[in-house]
This record gives sequence, C-alpha cells and structure tokens, in this order.
Amino acid sequence: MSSRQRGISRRSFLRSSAALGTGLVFPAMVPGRVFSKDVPSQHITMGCIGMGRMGQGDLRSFLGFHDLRVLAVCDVDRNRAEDAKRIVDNAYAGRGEQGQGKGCDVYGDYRELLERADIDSVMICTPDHWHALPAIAAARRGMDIFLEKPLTLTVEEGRLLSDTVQLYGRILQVGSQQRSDSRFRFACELVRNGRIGGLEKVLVGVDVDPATGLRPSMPVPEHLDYEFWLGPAPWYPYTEDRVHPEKGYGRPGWLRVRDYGAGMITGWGAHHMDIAHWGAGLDRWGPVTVEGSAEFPRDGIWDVHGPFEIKYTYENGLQIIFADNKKNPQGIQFIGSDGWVRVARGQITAEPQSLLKEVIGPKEIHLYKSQDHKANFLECVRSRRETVASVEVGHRSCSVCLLGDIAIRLGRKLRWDPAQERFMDDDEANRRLSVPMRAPWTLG
Amino acid sequence: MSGNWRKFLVLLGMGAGWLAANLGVGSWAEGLLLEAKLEQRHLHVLVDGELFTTYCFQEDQKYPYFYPVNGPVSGLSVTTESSEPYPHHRSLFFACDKVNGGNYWQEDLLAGQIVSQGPRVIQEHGKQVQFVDECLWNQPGQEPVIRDLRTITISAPGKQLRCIDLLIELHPLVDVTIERNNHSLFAGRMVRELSEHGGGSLVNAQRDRGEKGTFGVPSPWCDYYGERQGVVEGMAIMEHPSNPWFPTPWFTRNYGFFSPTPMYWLPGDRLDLPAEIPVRLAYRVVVHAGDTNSAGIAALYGEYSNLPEGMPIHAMRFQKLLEEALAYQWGQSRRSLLSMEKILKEAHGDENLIAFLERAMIHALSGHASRDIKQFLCHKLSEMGSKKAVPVLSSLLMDMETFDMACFALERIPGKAASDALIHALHDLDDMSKMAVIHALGQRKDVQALPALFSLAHGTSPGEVRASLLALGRFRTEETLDVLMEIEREQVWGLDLEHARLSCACALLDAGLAEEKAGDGLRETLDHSGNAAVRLGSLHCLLRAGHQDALSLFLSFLKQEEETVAASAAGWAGYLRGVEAITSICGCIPVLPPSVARPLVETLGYSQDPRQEWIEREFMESLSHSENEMLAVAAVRALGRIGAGESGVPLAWLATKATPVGEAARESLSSMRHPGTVPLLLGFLKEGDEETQLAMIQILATRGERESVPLLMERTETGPARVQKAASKALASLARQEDLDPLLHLMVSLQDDSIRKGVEDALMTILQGASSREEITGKLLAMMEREKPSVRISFLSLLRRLGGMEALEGIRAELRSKDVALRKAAIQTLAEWEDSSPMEELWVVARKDKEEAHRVLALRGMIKQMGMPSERSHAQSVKWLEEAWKLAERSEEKRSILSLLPRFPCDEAIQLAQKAVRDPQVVKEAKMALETMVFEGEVGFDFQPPGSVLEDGFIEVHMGTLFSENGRYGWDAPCKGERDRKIGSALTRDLLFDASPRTFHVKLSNGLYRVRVYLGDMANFHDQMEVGAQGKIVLQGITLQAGEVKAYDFQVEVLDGMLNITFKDGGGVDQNWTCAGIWIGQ
Repeated sequence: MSSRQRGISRRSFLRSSAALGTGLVFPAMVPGRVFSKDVPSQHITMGCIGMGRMGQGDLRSFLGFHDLRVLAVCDVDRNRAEDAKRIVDNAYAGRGEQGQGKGCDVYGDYRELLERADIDSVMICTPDHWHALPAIAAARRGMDIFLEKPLTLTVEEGRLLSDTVQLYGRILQVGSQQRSDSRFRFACELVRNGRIGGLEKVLVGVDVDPATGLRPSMPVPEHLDYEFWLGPAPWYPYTEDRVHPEKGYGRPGWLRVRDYGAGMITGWGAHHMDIAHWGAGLDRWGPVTVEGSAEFPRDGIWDVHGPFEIKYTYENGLQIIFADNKKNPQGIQFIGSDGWVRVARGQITAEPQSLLKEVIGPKEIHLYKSQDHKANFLECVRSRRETVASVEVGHRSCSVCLLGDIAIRLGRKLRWDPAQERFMDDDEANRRLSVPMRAPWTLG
Repeated sequence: MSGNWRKFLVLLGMGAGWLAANLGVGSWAEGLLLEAKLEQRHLHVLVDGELFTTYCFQEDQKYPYFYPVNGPVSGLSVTTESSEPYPHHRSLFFACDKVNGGNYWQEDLLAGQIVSQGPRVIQEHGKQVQFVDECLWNQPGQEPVIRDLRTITISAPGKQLRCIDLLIELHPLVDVTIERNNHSLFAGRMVRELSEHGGGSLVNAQRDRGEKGTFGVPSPWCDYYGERQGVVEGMAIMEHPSNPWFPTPWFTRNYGFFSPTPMYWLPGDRLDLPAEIPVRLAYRVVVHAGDTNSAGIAALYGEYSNLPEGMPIHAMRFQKLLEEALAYQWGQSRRSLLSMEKILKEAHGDENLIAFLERAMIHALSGHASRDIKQFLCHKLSEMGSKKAVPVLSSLLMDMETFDMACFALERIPGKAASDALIHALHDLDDMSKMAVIHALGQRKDVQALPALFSLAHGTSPGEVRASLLALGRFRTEETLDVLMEIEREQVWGLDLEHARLSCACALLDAGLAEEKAGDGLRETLDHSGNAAVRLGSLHCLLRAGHQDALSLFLSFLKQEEETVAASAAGWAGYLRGVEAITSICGCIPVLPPSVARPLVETLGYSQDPRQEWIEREFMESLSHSENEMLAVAAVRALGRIGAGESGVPLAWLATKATPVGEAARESLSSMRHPGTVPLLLGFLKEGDEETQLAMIQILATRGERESVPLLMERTETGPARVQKAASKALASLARQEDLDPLLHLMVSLQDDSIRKGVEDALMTILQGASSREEITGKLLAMMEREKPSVRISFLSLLRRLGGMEALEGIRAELRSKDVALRKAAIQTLAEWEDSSPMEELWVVARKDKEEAHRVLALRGMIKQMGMPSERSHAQSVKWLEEAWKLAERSEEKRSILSLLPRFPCDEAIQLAQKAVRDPQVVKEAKMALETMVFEGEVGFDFQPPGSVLEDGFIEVHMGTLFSENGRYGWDAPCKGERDRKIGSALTRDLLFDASPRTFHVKLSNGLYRVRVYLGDMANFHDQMEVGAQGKIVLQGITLQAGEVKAYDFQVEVLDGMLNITFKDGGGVDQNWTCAGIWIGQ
C-alpha cells in the first residue's frame, strides 16, 4: 500500500523534521480543528469508609497524592473517625491547603457519605462482612472504588459486586498490591513465558491465626455503634476480642471470627492465590476440584481455621497446593518441568538461579505493569482503563480461597464449575456460597 | 385307694402341672413370677421357682457379683465364676482399678475391696423383684473413698428372657482420681462354650462382630451368645443413654469378656470425680435364648432407652450433646457445639443419620432451649436442613428473638414448603421483619413468590415497596419486568425501582430471553432515568446485548452526557464493530472533550478487519498530532496496536520527539509486529536525520533486531557522534558470535574511546558467551600481531577486560615496543589490571622508563595494585610501599602510599610513616596513617635513649616519646631520665626511669593481651616498684638488685582501644622505678 500522505514525499518527510511541525495534512474526514490541551487536572475527590488499622494506613498513602482530595471519612467507631479526620486536616494544613472552614467531614453511616454529589470515589477498608454492601452501593451511585482485599465475605457477594461494577462502568481496584510489585510480576512473567518449562504445580504458603479462650460479654463502648458494626452479620453480645481494640489500632479480633472474615485463608490467600493465578494464566477462572483438611480451635470465641492444607486441580491438570506456612514456605512457588521460581514479599529465588537475570523480550508476554497500586487506581480513574487488580480478578482470587474454606469445613472433595460458579451435585456446599443477612440489610 | 389309682392321680397332677407350666396359663401371659430369697451371704432370685441368679456378697469377696446367671432354657450359667485366662473375673460384676491408687478389680483385698453393707430386699416377689445394697470402697484399715448405692431390679419379660437392671450411684467421699487402665466397670465374663473362642458370637448395636470389630467401638449394647449342648443362649449388656460417657466404647475379648467402659480411653489418661458429686450409671443385662436377632435385642434396647429403634449411634451421641447444651449461653464453652458440628459434618451421605439429627434439632427448637442454642441450631439447619424443619422454623419467625436466624434458615432451605412459610409469614410480621422476608424471597428467586412480591411492590409502605422492588430485580421473568415497568417512579423508591428494572432487564438479555421487551425497558430507562449511573448501566446492557440501536445510542450518550459519565461509557466502544461503527466513532471523537475521547481511542486498534484498520489508522495518524498530549499518546498507542506497516512512517517521525508522544511512539514501534516494521525502521536508520537515527537505534535495540547489526556497525563507524555512540551501545545488546570479526575490525578503526567502548562491550558479550578465554585470547593476540602499533593499541583494552595470564603476557610484550604510544598504552593497561600480577613489571617501568609520564603511570598502577588482596605479609607489602615511596616524586603518589599503610600495620609501616612525617608535603597524611594504624598481634617497645641499641623487632621509646605527639604509643609526660648501661642485651642494657608515676599508652584493638614488663637496672638497686594496668595494680613491691632485669607477665583486657601501663615507685630506699622495655602479645 502506498503512503497516504498526499503531497509529501517520503524522503522529504524524513529529512525536514524541523519544518514538519504542523505541515502534515489531516485526512479529510477530520476537520482541521486542533484539540484543546487538557485543563490543569482537577482533583479526584474521595470518601474513606473504615478507618481502622488498615484504613488509616491506606488513608495516609492516599493523602500523599496531590491530585487527590479526601473530603470525608466514615467509621462506626467515633474515635476512629475523629482520628482520621485529624489526619486529613493536618495533612492538608501542612501543605497549606486548608479546606473550607470545617475541614474533612465525618460520618458514622456510610450511606450518608455516598449521597454526596461532590465525591468521585471511595476507599473501603471495613471488616470483610462490610465490603460488599458499601461497594455495591457506591457503584450504583457512579463512584469508583478502592476496596481492600479480600473482595468479599462470600462468593455470591463477589459475583454480584463484580457484575454491578462492570455494569455501571466503574473503576475498582482491589488492595492486592502485590500486582504492583515488580518481583511478583517478574516471577509471573518468567512462568508465563515458559522459562521454567511447563508449569506443573504451584505451592502457596500463608500464616494462620491463633485460637483463643472464652470471653465474657462486655458493655458496648460508648463510642462504638455496635449494632451498625455488626450490620448484616448475626447478632452476638459485644466482647472486645470479637471486634477491635477499644483503644489503639492493634490487630483486631474480628479477623478470627467466621461471621466477619474467613481467616488467613482469604487474608493472605487473597494475595498469594491471586499471584498463583496470575502466573498460571488463570485469572478470571477457577479450579474444577477442591479438597482439604484443617484444624479448628477446640473452644473459645475465635472460630476461623488453623493449620490447613488444600489441593486445587484445574482443567488443564495444574495443581495448586495451598497450605499454612509450616507446610509450604510463605509465598508462592511455581514449579515447572525445567525449574522453579519462588516469590514472596521482598524476595525472589529461582532454580536455576540464572532465571533471575532473564530479560523478557518485546515479543513475549508482558503482564500489566503498575508501579504503584494506588497510583494505578488514580490513573485508571482518569483514563477509565481497567486497573491491575480489577473487580473480576479480585472476585476470582477471593472465591478460590472461599472454596477452600468450604472444602475444609465440609471435609470432603468438592467439584466446582468455574463457568457457572456453583458446586456440582452438592447442595450443602452450594448453600455456603452465600450467607444470609440480618434485616434491614439486604444484598439486593 | 388302690396303688394304681394313686399313681394315676399323681401323674395327672404332674401332667396338669406340666401343662400349666408350658401353656402360658394364668399369669405367664404377662411375664413370669419371681422370688427373692435373702440368705446370710447370698441373695437368690428365682424365676418360676427355678434359680435364675444369685447376688453373692461374701466378706472375703473382692466385690459383690452375680453368679450363676442361668440361661432361660438350659438352666446353666451363661457366665463363669472363674476361668482361665484371668480367673479373677467374676461372672457379672461391677468393679474398678486405679482408684486413688487402689485396685478394686483384682489382686488381694489389701489393694482394695468393695464391701457390701448387706442388701435389703424391697420387693420380694411378683413380676419383678428388687433389692438395694450399699457398698463401701476402701482399703483395709483406711477410710472408704467411695460409697455406692445400687438398686437391682430383676424381671422375666418372657419365657426366654431374663432382665437384670442395675442402677448404681457412685458417691465419692473424697476427691477421687481414676487413672487410665484396662480394667473396666460393669463387666460380664461368658462361659468358654459361649465365648468367641468356644464358637460363640459377639455383636454390637451397629452389627460389628467379634473382639476385632467391637473393641474400642462406642455402642449402646453388646450381645454375647453361642450354642451349648444344642441350646443357643446369650447375654446382652445394655447401657442407658443417660450414662455419662454414653455411648461408651467397649472392652471386649474373644474369651468371653465384655464391658462398656471409658477407662481405657480416658482423655488426659485420668478421670477426676470430685467429692460429693454423685455419678449415676444404669445398665440392663438381658439373658436370653436364641441369638441377637431372635431375642429382639435391638427392640428391647429401644424399650429400655426410650430411643427409637434403629437410631444410629451418632444420633444418640448428638442427642445427648444437644440435651446437655439446651441451656447454652454465648460466652460458655463451645465444646459440645463443636462436637455436634463434627457429627453433622461426618453425617454427609448417611441419609438415615441426617434424618435423625435433623429431627433432634427440630425437637430442641420446639422446646425450651436457650436463645443462643436456637441460633446455633437454626444456623445448622440453614446449612443442611430440609423441608421437615420448615414448621418449627416458621413458628420461630414469630418470635423476635429468633426471627433473624429462622429467616436465615428458611431462606436457604429449598422447596415449596419454605417458600410457603415465608410468604405466609408476610401477613403477620412487622415492617422490618417483613423486609427481611421479602429479601429472602428475592434471594430464593422463587417464582411462586412473585404474586406476593408484585402485590407488595404496588403497595404504599416505602420499606416494603423498596424491598420488593429489589427482590423482583433478581428475577428474570418477562412478567416481572412488566410489573416493574408499570410501577410509577415515585421519589422515595425511584432509584430502587430503576435498579430493579435494570437488573431484571439485564438478566433477561444476558439469558437471551424476552429480548425485545427487555431492550425496550432499557431504552425507557436510558431516556428517562434521572440517575446517571442507571443510565450508564442501561447503555452498557444494550451494548452488551448488541441492540440494533446500540451505535446511535452510544454516540448520543457520549455527546449528551456530562463529561465524567460519558468517559465511563467511552471504554465500551469495544462492543461496536464494523466499518460503519468505527467511522462514526472516529467522526465523533473531534467533538468530544479529551477526557472522553481518550478512553474511546484506547478501545481502537484491535480489529483484524483491514477496512476497519484503514479507517482507524487514518484517523489515529492525524490525531497523533493533536495538541492535547494525552490524546496524542492514546492515538500513538492505538497505531502501535493497529500495527499496519504504514503506521510506521508517522510513528517514526513522532519517535524522534523527546516528549510523552515520542516515547509512546517508540514504545509502539518497539512492539509492533507487522512484518514491514523492521525494514521501515532500517530504512529510516539509513536515511533519516540525526534524531531519527537515534530513535531508530533505540527501537531496534529494544526489539532485539539482529538484522540491524550491519547497519549499526556502519553507523558506529561514521556519522554524527551521538549516533555513533548510540549505535555502538546498541551493538552491545545485539551482537552475536558471527559478528566477531567485523566487530574486531570496527573496534580497530575507532579512535574515540567512548564510541569504542560500546563495540568492546559487544565483543565482550560475544567472547564471554562463546569459546574459552584462552582460545579467544589466542585469537586476539594472533590478530594483533599482524597489525601496526596504532591499531594494536585498540586491542589492549579488550585484552585487559578478558584478563588471564595469556592476555597479560601479550600486553607485557608490548612494553618492549619501540612505539612510544603503544608502550604507554601497554603501561596504562597494566596499571589498570584487575589484580596485582603486573606489579613487578610496573615497578621496573617506574624505575627505569625514560619517559616521566610512563614512570608516573607505572608507579600509580603499582601503588594501586599494592592495595589489592594478596598473600604477602604486612612487612612484605610495606617493603613494596617503601620502594614506591622511593620513586614517588609527587605528593599525589605519596599520599596514595600513605593511605594504604594502615592496611599493613607493622613496625615497618610505622617506620615508613614516621619517616613520612618529616616530609612537609604529606605530614598530615603521615600522621593520619600513624593514627589509624592499629597494632595487631605483638608489639615490643625498647625503652632507651635515642640511638641506643634497639632490640630486634622492638620499637624505640625514649623518655620524650609522647603519646600526644605520636598518636600510637607514648608517655603521658616526659620521663625523668634515660640510660644506656652498656652491659646486657639490647633490651636490658638500657632503660628509662622516673621518681613520679608515669603512664605509657598504646593504642590497641580491644581484646585480651599478655603484657610483659622488664623491670630493673643493670647498674643499680631499686625497691618497691609498682606497675598498674588499666588503673588497677598488677605488680607491687618489686625489689631488684643491681644487675637484675627481670620480666614480669600479666594479663590485661583492653575495652576502649587503649592500653595504659603505669609505673610507680612505692616507697622504700630507692626512689625510682626503672623499666627496660615492654612486650605486648596475645
């Protein structure tokens, strides 16, 4: 095909670079209008829901982005909400960017925060049982969402959240920040480009939670709206170790209570199984069988799993063994026919070691490159491009862990249909894909 | 009466008696008559006049027991009073071992005895007899530890059945601990003929058989039976469900022993029975004719236990746990709940067991259980309940305390019954609860609930309407959509209505149902909804479904909606395909705000259709010049994706820019796969201007294009300097073995070092990757030989990088060259060698070369190499440094030498440094060297007047050697005097002395040292000399005659980098201390 550059020969085009500023003729279909430059970028505004241990950390990170403005914070624990407000106001005061008079707004009810027309996006760092409802509501209000992992408490919630976010064209980033870490990406690229030969097995190792004893019920602290904190979860009398520390931001007990979270199986699993899928090229999919066993606390108020081992098999024959880190080293190890690569936070090893010096060529598979997880979210809010850890990816990474939790609680091998997202021939297992909600909360 | 008549009457009477006995006449129809006869030490129980069993309680018995226990047909005891093996077993008995250390099972009475206090008959005759007994468990002479009260009831429910019911209440009189043992509680020992050994059978309630099958297995009963002299008889022992360890595991043996007992399986290997807390145990023994089945043992157990016949053992256990947990309060131990969960989990697949378990839970929910246990049970029913649970759950819906959990459970139980219950409940519940039920119906997607939901959706209560709308949104039926579309959009629930319509319509479209209707519904929402998110969702759905108006709807949306909303939708252009669509989209872009145009552009460039490609490409090419940088970048990326060869031209032009657009262009070209790309790039490299060439080089290198190597070599050779450098750098990543020769020639031709470096790098990459170093070195040297000196120079750097002895030899050879430049280059190369192999050569050059520049070069190299790791001793290294020092004329070299000194701490180094201190050029560095040198190993100081004979290896210290000046060692203040006595060894002949205390400091690295001081004077007497170290006295009262110089040793620990030795005169006749020297070692 000959050049369509009418009126300019190829040679002269090449030689006279200096003269070529605006001399090129536009094809006829496009009027000669010059596009305006971007207006200086306006802030993305954000409301933050869930100002506990992780939420505060994420808030501080987001405050570091000067093209973002946090307008409101929300927590059912008034002390925590106030602390968060102070952090926001101090940050902006320190930059000489005083807000309008009263500074950052404080809410106890996230629904009020979501009503605000001046908020573009939300950050959600609540306990797991409170992930789906605010996120779905935010999506329906046209907001973009940064949601801490694991995506949801149940598979059903995750499916609905993913469908809603996609339907309404929202941008969602799951807090699986390992996808923005070059070590993890490199390890996965090595696998995807066949550097360890054919992938045969993946070993994933994570921490587990301790058990604890019995606790008496206690009076609800005056600063905590406990009823709201429970939300859709079944009612139990209040005791501190089942919720979060009344003072300070130590590790909260709810992490070990099945009504609120599944334990480290999703807490860490959502990170490491996510990477396992990424490296194996199984994003947005799932296993075909899952079986496993676990120890559970013999008493006490905490009831999530202890040491465990789960085996997943996939359609292509791949096996993933997901276990506590006494059985598998913490992190992910991809084992192939010609070697292996193991990656964890801050470390990557391989056999042969020379793999670590490999360069992935331009014609090979390059995975989504993100340098910073929160920056990627903000970029995608502007560009409307999918984030590195999008909602469907987050849903499938979370689901695979939840399937494992179901398997260890039922103690038998289960067959899973990743297309329909149902267990095959097992009504009892399928019932556990959802958890009912206490009135007035509904997953409508 | 005659004798014959009398005989006849007797016979008649006997016959009548026989008939009466065997025809069930009179009271036998309801069981046989029993009689209890208490004697001195026996209590006999007769059934129908025949002895059935005797309760034996003699004083010398270990424990009371039953013997015989006669079979109903044979009249012979089915048990044995004593048999091998284990002759201590007594028929049918209750006993125990390891009770507070006592043995109430076997061995002699001293170890323990259960002593009957004498039974008392309660019921002497009738259909049953009953007696009680009190027993004390004690060791002789000691207080009893347990008092038990036993009630024994014996009956004969049928001709072939006999029952012994034993209820025994153990009252610990003190705290009792029973340790794990294999001696049981209530036990039976069958006669040999009826034992397994003798051909008999042992079976439990689960139909496990034999010792093997029953040992350790929990079961409510076991039956041991066999055939003896043609008669089948047996004995079953049953355990009442109220027993503490029910269902208890069994200790069974094939020689006839069997007993339900926890003792062999105690958790923690012990059982603690606190004082005053009674333990109740109940058993029934059934002595029967026939086997287990014909005697109906299972049914008899049902009667005894009040449990349904056929109830699985795990259900019994579950029942028991549940009964114990009925008052459960949150906060208490969850163990029984966890045990129940385990039984439920393991019941999977056993429909019979599951049915029992469910029944038990339903029953508990119907009764007086705590709220908290009801919550638990509802949770379990939600996981595995069936329609059978629906009635009780429905009733719980009406109680606010249990509503939530009951609703949960009903929500998840499939089937009509649950739906009906929920629907029915709607009538009677308050608003909040109603909403929960509505939601549950929506979750279930129960079509039969639709009429109720429709009705609610048309209501007026906002909460109910909203809940039902959301519930309806989950259904995918046409009818539902109809209803949703006809409901008025009221303010209060307008948004929920729209979401519901959207959900429903989307679900229908995705399923390919009612497409037209669903599409119309979505159109309506799109046109009329006041909510942007809903409009977005509607559009997305329509696009996804490929609606006929998708394109026009999309374009209008983009144009009419507010910017951020439109931007959200822009990415969906990917749903629209075809030439018409792409043309329209491209035509639309110019009128859209950039934030909307950009995501739109990013969806382009993925098509395989050539026409579409052409349109996109045309458009992107123009767009790539947009003043809006973001758009231009997006367009350039799109061009890269489109990848048709001709995009290369404008991209190549853009690639020369140092802007984000330029970078995007380079990225695009780097990844473009079109086969025409590379020729295009090469063409531009050949003919383009400088910027273009630079851009092309970067792209070709990123792409790893080997075919560009020849051209790159050309560009390295000639061209603008920047291009040459870039080209040579690119070669480094692209060159391969086959390029070796041309690269060598290229290298040789280059003058500029910075350009040549790239070529050298390329050569190194090839050389290192390919043959052995020797081979390559050989090849290079061979090539070098043929060349003239100016060319040979260029090989030297490569040889240096290769390293190795051969290369070194080759370079050394050039030292002899007559060509000055070549010689200089050779010296330079040797000076930069990676190790110290060329040091000697360099020394020679540094001494002898005619050219000063060469000498300095060589000296510098030599000094540098002295600092490299080697096997030399410190002294040897310092010797080299001394040689270098001699040759050093400029302060730079001197300073370099001094900076190396501290690495070799030894006397020679100190001396050199001391010498250097006198050189004004470098006095500062010399002092620094002295200061930083730390003594290692040993050091000796010879105290003497300056110039006196110095002890070998020792350092001279005179009266004025001050630490403050020296920095390494010395006195705190000058000593009074110094003398050379001229007799004795170099060390002992001379000394220093003072009347006042003086401290000698030595800078030493921390550690433990041995110090030797040489005190005394070859000429004079001195008394009461004292020596201190680190402030502590280590030597005292040293008195020496004239001519005596003695060595004294002590240990010192240096903790702060300094050793301080103080000399003092402690009084006496002579007023001085004297010291000839010190030696310090480790």
